[in-house]
Amino acid sequence: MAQITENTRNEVQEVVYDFFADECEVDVSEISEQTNIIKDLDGDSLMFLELIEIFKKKYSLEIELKTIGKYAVKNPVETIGQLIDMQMLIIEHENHILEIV
Amino acid sequence: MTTDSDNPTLNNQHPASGIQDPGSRIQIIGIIGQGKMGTSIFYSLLSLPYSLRWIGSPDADIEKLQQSLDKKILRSLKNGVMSQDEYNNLRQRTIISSDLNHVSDCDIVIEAIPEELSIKKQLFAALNRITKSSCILASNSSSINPSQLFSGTDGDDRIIGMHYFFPVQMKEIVELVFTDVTSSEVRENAIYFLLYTNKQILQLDESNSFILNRLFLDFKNETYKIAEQGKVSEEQLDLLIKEHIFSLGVFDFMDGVGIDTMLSSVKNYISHYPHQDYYSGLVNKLQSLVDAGNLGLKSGQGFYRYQDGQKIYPDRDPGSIKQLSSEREREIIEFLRFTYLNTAKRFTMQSGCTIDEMNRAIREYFGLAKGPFE
Repeated sequence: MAQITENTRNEVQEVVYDFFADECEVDVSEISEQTNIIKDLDGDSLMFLELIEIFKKKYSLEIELKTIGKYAVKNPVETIGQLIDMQMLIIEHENHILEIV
Repeated sequence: MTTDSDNPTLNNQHPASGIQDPGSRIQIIGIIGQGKMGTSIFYSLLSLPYSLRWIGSPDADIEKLQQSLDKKILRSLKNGVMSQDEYNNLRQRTIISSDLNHVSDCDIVIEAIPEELSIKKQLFAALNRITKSSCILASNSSSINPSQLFSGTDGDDRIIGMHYFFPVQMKEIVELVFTDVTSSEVRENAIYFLLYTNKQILQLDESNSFILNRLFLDFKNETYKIAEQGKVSEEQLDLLIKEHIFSLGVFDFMDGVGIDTMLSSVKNYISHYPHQDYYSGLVNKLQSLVDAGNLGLKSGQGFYRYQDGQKIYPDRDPGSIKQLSSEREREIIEFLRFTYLNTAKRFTMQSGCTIDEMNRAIREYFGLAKGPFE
């Protein structure tokens, strides 16, 4: 299980912001925690999956995509801030994410 | 264009599934269609050592598809998700084009174009001409049986249904539909291919095809019958379903898929049913919405109204939904649960699938922690 430090959220935020700035061709300063991924950035599930692969590699996570899929159906994400929060839960709980009450 | 000598040889054992694969049987895969499903199937196969030919429609922006792929794999390289060798190899073994002739050397072609029978039939006729005789021709259709896709007789033993669910990377279940004349070699190779790509197979014959969508259709139909009586709103029903049965509401789902797409799918599903009247209320409602141009989320109105992709409630405060009495609420939940279980039981018995297979398939399909019989 990955070690969560005070810095982890900042790291995750930086990766997420850089990712969407690159993929959606917007300046990183235009992205905030309140940015709506679909409405403002025209985001899709492919982007979400690619981000998960990046975090799986970065934090050596053991989690199956179908597990994240099940969690995401119950806990849909709309904003960048919510996406960062979900990534933090994935890093913290990995395959046990569905056990969070 | 890559040549056969560029094709990587598959390892015998898939790293995740552990499935032993003969490897030599399927190495080159064609994917037809650049929509949501075609794109998802393409990207789900990208990390496996196959040569891929992704074919878009003649009016598709191929350059944009290529740029999008280039950007993604370059980012994977930059983030350490992919090594330089993997990056070089992937670029070599992938072709994106609108020229159908690129699939001539494929071992399997997976069609994922819009659900229009006439267009699909034209495509399969062309594929039958272009591809080698050993190539499996698979359709990702969610409502059209494979035998309907082919009007000839020469080559119809290699057409199958291979129905993936979206997003393909996250949904392991695939409905595999064989016709009466599907050859044993095609059956065996298709099963190997899916297991090797880490999929769970729900194997069905044409009389029981698309069983998961049909099961959900019956549930939607019963839910609509309650709404039709006018005493409980669509919104109240969706809220109860999301809280107690599935993770998605049926009217939300239909609006999200598109009312026109739903209508044509429902018509396809029930076309051979003896009791089509059972579905007439839902079909008439979908037809009236389509006639009015209310196609769901994409048009701004379906069962619900939307603005900028968000549901809106022009006539009331969003939090002020009328509460049902607890007794009425309990009755509706029990009725919907009974409908779900009864439908699941009926389809399980009809299809010949085991209870374990259905539990697993339904868990995957609806994203549930438990199947209906657990």
